[in-house]
Amino acid sequence: MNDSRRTANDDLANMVASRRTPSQWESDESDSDLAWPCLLIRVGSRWCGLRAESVSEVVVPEGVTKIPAQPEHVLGVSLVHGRLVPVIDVGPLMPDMDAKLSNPRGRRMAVVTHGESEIGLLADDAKGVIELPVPEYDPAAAARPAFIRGEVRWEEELVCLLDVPTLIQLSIGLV
Amino acid sequence: MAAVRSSIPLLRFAAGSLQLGIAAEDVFAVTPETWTDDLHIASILGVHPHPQRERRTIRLPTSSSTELTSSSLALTELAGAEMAITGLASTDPNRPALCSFQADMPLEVIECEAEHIMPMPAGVPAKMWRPVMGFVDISQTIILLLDIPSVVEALLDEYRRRTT
Repeated sequence: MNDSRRTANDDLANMVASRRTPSQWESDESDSDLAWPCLLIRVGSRWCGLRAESVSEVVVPEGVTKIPAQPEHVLGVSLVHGRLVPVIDVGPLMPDMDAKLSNPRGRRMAVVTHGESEIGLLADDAKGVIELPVPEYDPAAAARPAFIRGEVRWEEELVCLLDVPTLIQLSIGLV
Repeated sequence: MAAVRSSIPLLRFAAGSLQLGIAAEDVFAVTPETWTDDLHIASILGVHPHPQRERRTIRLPTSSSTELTSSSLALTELAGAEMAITGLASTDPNRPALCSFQADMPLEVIECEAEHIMPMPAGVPAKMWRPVMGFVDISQTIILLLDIPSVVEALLDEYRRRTT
């Protein structure tokens, strides 16, 4: 429609826009700590760590409404306490890292936030918050996805520390 | 920004398992007839039409015309009907160019209250998920609100792609 008159579609778009609140990006990470409290989630056979300060809640995922024509990692949106949260599967963003969701019954969703933005990360399992060491410089990091801060040892597992702000930007197409 | 309405008529329809909605007053016509050369809305959304449900043809104007206003009013007057809104097809050569697509039943016109509208999730740019521009929560069912110009553009792109 190439009409300059206002249409009902414009009215509907205005109604949608009036319900939005602006978002701003902030960076508040401190790298002076030696260890970070992190929530551990498992995606397939891959354990991932999310800084606890970025996690708002862990829920049992309910109906996911698919968003059409989106990349494989964007599964859709889900209602969490009355607000719509994009549901993300990190597996496709971590190819060749054995991160394929495999437990449809016991799944959890970790809702992570950065500023005004939030996404829900699906996981096969979620453990409590544990202290993980800050990853040291790793020359192999350049070959990994940009949202992987590093890999650290926890008990007998190798845990990927995920950088939530970068993951949020990447998963909803801001980079 | 212009004044926001407190409610708006919404034409609700389906594409497979997706529940969709567009501004009803901008719809030129809905007809029970379907034509094989009309695309199904599912084709621009990356989903499949429902294999068993009946379909309807929805016609959107691709350009403005005074005829648009009268036809939209006619559709609004039929808002009480739950099924099979009768066709408003015209043989008038001066009627506006139309973009048609098929959609799955159930199809109905509902009054959408502003408080039920949900915008894009925080942090998702407004145009990132076009043609989806927002959502409506109706009794825990999420209806995807489609932006009509984006739908028309996508349909035309798909037509061109299939004919070249």
